[in-house]
Amino acid sequence: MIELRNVSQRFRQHHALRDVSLTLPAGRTAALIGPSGCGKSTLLRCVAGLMQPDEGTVEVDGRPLTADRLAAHRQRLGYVIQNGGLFPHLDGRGNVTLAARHLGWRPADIEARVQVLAGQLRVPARCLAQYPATLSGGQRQRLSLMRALMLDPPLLLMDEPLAALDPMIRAGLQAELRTLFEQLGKTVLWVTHDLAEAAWFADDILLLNDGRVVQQGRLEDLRMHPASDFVTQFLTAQQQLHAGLP
Amino acid sequence: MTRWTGAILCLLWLAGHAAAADLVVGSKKFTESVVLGELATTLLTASGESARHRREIGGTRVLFEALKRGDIDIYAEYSGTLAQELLALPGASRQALQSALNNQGLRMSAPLGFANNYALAMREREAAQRGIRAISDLAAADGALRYGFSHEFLDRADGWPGLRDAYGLTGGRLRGLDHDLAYRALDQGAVDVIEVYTTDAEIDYYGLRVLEDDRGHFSDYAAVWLYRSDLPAAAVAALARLNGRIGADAMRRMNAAVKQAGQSESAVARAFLASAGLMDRASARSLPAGPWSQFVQTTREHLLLVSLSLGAALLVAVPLGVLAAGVPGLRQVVLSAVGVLQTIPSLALLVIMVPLLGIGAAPAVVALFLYSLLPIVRNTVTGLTGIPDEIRDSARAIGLPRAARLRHVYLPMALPQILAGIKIAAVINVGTATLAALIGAGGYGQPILTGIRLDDTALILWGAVPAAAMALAVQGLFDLAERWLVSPGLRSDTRQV
Repeated sequence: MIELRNVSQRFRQHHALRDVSLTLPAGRTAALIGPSGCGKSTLLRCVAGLMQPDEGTVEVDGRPLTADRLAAHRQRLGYVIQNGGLFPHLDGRGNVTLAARHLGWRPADIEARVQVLAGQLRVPARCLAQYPATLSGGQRQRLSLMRALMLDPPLLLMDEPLAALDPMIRAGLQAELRTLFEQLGKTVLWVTHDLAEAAWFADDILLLNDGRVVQQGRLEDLRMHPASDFVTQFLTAQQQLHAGLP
Repeated sequence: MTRWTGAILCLLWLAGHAAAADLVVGSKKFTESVVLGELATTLLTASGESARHRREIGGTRVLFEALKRGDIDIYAEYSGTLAQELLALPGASRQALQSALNNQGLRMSAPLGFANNYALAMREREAAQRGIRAISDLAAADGALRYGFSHEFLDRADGWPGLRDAYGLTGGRLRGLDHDLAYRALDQGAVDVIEVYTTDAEIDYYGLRVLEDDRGHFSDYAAVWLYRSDLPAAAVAALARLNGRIGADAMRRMNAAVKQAGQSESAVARAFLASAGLMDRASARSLPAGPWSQFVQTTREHLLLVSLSLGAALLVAVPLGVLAAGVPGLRQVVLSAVGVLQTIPSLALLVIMVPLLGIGAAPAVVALFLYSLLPIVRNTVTGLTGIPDEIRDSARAIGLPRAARLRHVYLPMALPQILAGIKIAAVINVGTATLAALIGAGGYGQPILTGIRLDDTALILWGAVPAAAMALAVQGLFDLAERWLVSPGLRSDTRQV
């Protein structure tokens, strides 16, 4: 379980996060959604321990995330970003297995885990031998997901992982991933700016604006009981975006 | 790491103190000094001493410092230079000079027989046309004459500054020239007046008019040995056998034999010693190492200079670059510091090292080491700071601690840049190392120096061509290393999509 209490973060004059408090129950998927610059990625980085908030605390399983617990925390989370963030000097297998090799896993265990993940994420063997620069966007994201899942972490943090993919591949991966996350029972925090994607994946939607959580709930809750005018405006804008298609 | 540092210090020490038991004879970088150095070395060897010759070392000051430090034991100096320039006791008596030297742990021998005075010389025809016979005659034509003086002469109290005051000259158009090039410049009409040494073989060869020093400005430059007071008595006695034996004509003939007849200094020295009855003729004919073994020797010296300095630079510069990249507050300080080192002209940096480390390979290696830092440090910093934030985040998020991130992610990604920096440093290093011959470190600079002195283009090429070839080879070696070490994922030729 992840809990944020009164978290604030500033970059010079800009308030990225203002007094954010929220709870992510274990085993559930939550979507962080909101307009550009609303603080989605900053919030995700705080949960990942890549950033210490100026104020407030991030608690993992009831204990505050302090500097001495960061290393252990990071081994219990998977992190995937928009362009995959794969290491260009390592081939697919090298990227996926780096953390496990560093932790001294036995080669046989590593190979077994790679085979399981390659099956789950439908990554062909030849992709594991290729360098990121020679792979397509979709293949890169699948490898990045394999890397994130390698140590079988209970928590997955995704920062717009599908945003850079073309629509066909994106729709296919969305479907695959939902099934996979349901099977694996991970706690997932998924950043997106697309309401349809958020509704498709998430048990819970967290709508952010200007560094604050405006509303938390299911899509129906947001529709039926909008917490503010902004919620209505945001939902309307997203609806128009999708309705505008021919 | 410490084992490597220890090994390098050992090698530096060895390079600096190779064959420390030998007596070391030094010489300046003009022919007469080299011939005298050969005479001393040959005579000492023939007398059963173990002696070697460190030839063609930079300037007078460098040599005198080297003698005081014990890097060399003997060299031939001129009394005038000693009084005016080295001890700053103009007009001092022999006894005064001797006691000033004693205070520095040095001794001076009795005169060798000839004096090599400074003088001014002109092309005979031009001097006749202008009616110039003595230096005082120059004043009338002063504005129209082009003077070409060696940098040392321009700088020395007993050189141009004193001469100018003594004769009321303005200098007309004045320019600094290497002494060995001055004769050709004069002969080709590029300059009208140069300074000469009175035993120079070129005076006769080019048919020059030596101007009379009618106001007696130039003092007496009688040749003597300068040596350390701890020189073994047997060696002192051996050297003393030359006292008063080398007349001005004999010296001029020896200079001509080297410069005009192209004989080696060693052969000329042996022939003189044999004819003076100081050495038997049979042993005089045994010749020193041929050009091929000399080439092997200079190659070894050059490689040693380059590999030691570059290896030490690698051990220091890469960690320094990593530190500077990781600590932004330190970055500017480190880059400025190594940047300033790079702005010191290489020749100056080499000579600055002499008072600290003496002459030979050690100061050269240190100077080359300092010179190699900037490209490596800068490229390491550029390579590391250029890694995108998303990669840094990914590396941290998969739980790698700082050292593992550096080792498995950042350094391999920055490797192409780092290798490029090392390659630049190595190529510059090979070229700059040719200057190290000026402070007695040998290498490919040695034949270049000798070639300039003897106006021997072939000899210059014996140094310049291998130096260029070595630079190319080093470049090729690093290109190969790049293929080996850099991940195919980072090489542009494997990218596609």
